[in-house]
Amino acid sequence: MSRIKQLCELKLSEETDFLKKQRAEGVKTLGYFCSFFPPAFAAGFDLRPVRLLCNTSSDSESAGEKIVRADVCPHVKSILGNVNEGNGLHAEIDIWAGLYTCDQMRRGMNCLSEDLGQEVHPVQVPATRTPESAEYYASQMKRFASDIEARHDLRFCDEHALKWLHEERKASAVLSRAAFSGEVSPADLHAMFQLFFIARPYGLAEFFEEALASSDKFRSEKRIVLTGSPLTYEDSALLEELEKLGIGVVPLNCTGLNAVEYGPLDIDTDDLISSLALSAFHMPACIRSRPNRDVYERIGLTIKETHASGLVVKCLKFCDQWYTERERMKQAFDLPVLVFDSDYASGGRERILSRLDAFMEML
Amino acid sequence: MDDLLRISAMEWEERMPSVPPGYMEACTYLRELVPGGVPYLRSQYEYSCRGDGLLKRLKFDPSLAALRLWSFLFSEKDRLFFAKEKGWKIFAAMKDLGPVPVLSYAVPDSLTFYADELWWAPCFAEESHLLDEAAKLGAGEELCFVRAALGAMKTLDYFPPPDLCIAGVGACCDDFSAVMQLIESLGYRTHWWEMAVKLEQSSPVMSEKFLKTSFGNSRYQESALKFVAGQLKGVVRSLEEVSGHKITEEMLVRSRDRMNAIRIRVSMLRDLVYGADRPPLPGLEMLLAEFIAIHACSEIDESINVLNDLIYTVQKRLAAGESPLGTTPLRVFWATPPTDAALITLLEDLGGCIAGTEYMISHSFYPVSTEMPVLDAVAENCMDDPMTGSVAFRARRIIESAKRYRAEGVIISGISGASHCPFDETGVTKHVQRELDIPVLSFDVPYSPGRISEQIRTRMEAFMDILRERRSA
Repeated sequence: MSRIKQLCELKLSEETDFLKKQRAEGVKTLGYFCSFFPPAFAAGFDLRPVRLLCNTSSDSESAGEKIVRADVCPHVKSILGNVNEGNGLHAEIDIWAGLYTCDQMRRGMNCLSEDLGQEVHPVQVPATRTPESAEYYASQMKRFASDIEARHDLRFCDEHALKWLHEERKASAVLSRAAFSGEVSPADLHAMFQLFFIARPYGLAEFFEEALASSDKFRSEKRIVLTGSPLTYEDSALLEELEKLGIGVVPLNCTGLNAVEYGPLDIDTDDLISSLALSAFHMPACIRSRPNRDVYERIGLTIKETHASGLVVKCLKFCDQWYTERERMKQAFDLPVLVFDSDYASGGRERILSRLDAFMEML
Repeated sequence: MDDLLRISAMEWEERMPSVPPGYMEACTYLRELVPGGVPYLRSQYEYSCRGDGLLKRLKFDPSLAALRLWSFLFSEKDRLFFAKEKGWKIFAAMKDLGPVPVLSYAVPDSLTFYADELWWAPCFAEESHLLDEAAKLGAGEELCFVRAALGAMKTLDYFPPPDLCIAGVGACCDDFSAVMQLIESLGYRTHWWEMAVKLEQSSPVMSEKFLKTSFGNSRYQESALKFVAGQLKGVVRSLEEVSGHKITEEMLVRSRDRMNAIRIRVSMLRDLVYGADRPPLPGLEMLLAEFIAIHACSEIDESINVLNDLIYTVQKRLAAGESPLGTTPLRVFWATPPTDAALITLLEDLGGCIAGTEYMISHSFYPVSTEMPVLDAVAENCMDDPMTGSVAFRARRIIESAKRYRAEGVIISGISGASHCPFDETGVTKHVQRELDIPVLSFDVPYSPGRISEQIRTRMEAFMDILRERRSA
């Protein structure tokens, strides 16, 4: 295991233990999945935010299939399965930010609330990107805040939120720089991002800097831009195989750069919650945004800036939003494009390898 | 007792010479555009020869009103092409299934159709060229049959190029959201508007004010209504830009009243037919009639005539105790429209009848309120849409209707690949069984041109046996 990954795993373990300790002391946790949720919102209420993109496997999918049919997105199934069986960090969540993104996630959040009895606060993330949609998103976050206040007797503290935000952005900047540098291996980068989603941000930038400084630089022969559905902690087979092939990755997905490139933050001290919401809403657009031409423009620009030789679109099974873009993607970019869908089954690695072989020839 | 029987497309063809010439002449569309209108009454057999082969496998109501209904629906593409040729604007509404045409019909010299409805085309045509075209563009079998709309936008053999696509997104299925994006990528001018999610009034949501819709009695959060009304204002602006007409409140009121005339009739027809012990009209005709409510089948005035004719026929049969179905048919509530319309014929052949439906268009059966500005009223109607709510919301509507129409069982026909079906089928089944204690059969309908899936046939037969046994017990 590389040094960076080792350090990240150690830190992750410490953070997980600390979270459990905090919770035992009465601190409530807030779980979320979508990068459009601003964790500083939770920190403002002294809640501990955690982005749960972990504990995924064929077992977690099977557990989810006790609640929904098998032909549901593996991510949604795993969330439901993990909560239902009380696995890992999913068992440590008190409050869920139920961001309604795609239809399957919306319905999955309904199941989390109705079938599994969890406290889920619904917030629609509009697919359109107009000023009215942004305002609607912000107004729902304010309603979410009022509900937290009323239900948990908590008060939002600007200072706490801003402190979290400041540290989070520092760590984000390091991650962004690392991802663009091409000097961090795909699997190491993945480990850093996953740590970022779970750990407290305090001192995290410095931790990342030290880890990078103390590790050998990754030298890639070629770089590809990776986009598509979110990658969970365990869903790293593709990255590992790319790394073995000496390919660097620019992670242009919501578990990579899209999660750390914030929209402009216009801090309104009279309404910090709206400021946080609007900044999060203006992060790089998701493929489900309508129209989604911004996503294409961003991919094109990144390919150009990073001199990438190829584009990999990794979709989750049953993800209509990404998978249906495959022909358009191939038409839009003048470089080899590999599109495939996958679930969390362990046998998927063989399939990845055979697809990568053909892709490598094209590169 | 009567001698009404459902008849085949060929039998209708044989009866065509006996259709009174006066009736034939009355059946015309686009009278605003052509003096006297364009005649359209043809037999189902003729439409089957034009390409909709499934019609040969169905059984139809023997009334002239039903013949008019079938002809009216199957002539929709003719009037769309004709109107376009004559310089009218053609709007493609997408996804909201009802509210947008209330606004778009305010535009003079225009027609509105729903691209979504093309999902039936490959099944009626019993051939897959629209699906094949969609697949070439990236929309393959992982999506529901609504991908046929994309194929049709490419081939343009079902409608002319629309002047504007009006795409509702947000609280919608992933399938059609993806399809609409691909449609826009073909170069069609598209106005996107956000459909708001209707929240459950559940314990975490404490600080929202919840209201109820005027007619559907659906609970919704007030903030969503205001937001959607703003979104619909954007739709109107877009219609103005494309048409060059300023759309006034008076124009919207007139359009609302015309669409309400249709909605009220469809609702009345449903109550008359589904409420009867022996439904006076078969399920297929009702399915077609219900879909008129969403967009007037691209012609408001003739829609009203078609529905008046059906209501008159139904009332006459009710008075005479006539029905084309058996004496005591088993009453089945049907949720989600079946992709293969032959399944409804099969249900009736097995001794059943349709006693209520929830085809995901039920919000279009409620009138648009006349007590508030039109945009607000249409936004309110959006809050009745089952697509924008939770599974529990849809289940409640199904349960209420199934109770109202005394259903003995519920069939939920899913659509392969649809993002909501895996949740709906398990969720709705659970709610219905808990509340009503009646059997529920759910299945996804595969694409099986030329025949009914044997597996589904067997399951439906077994289900009807269960209902029969329960009744006799």
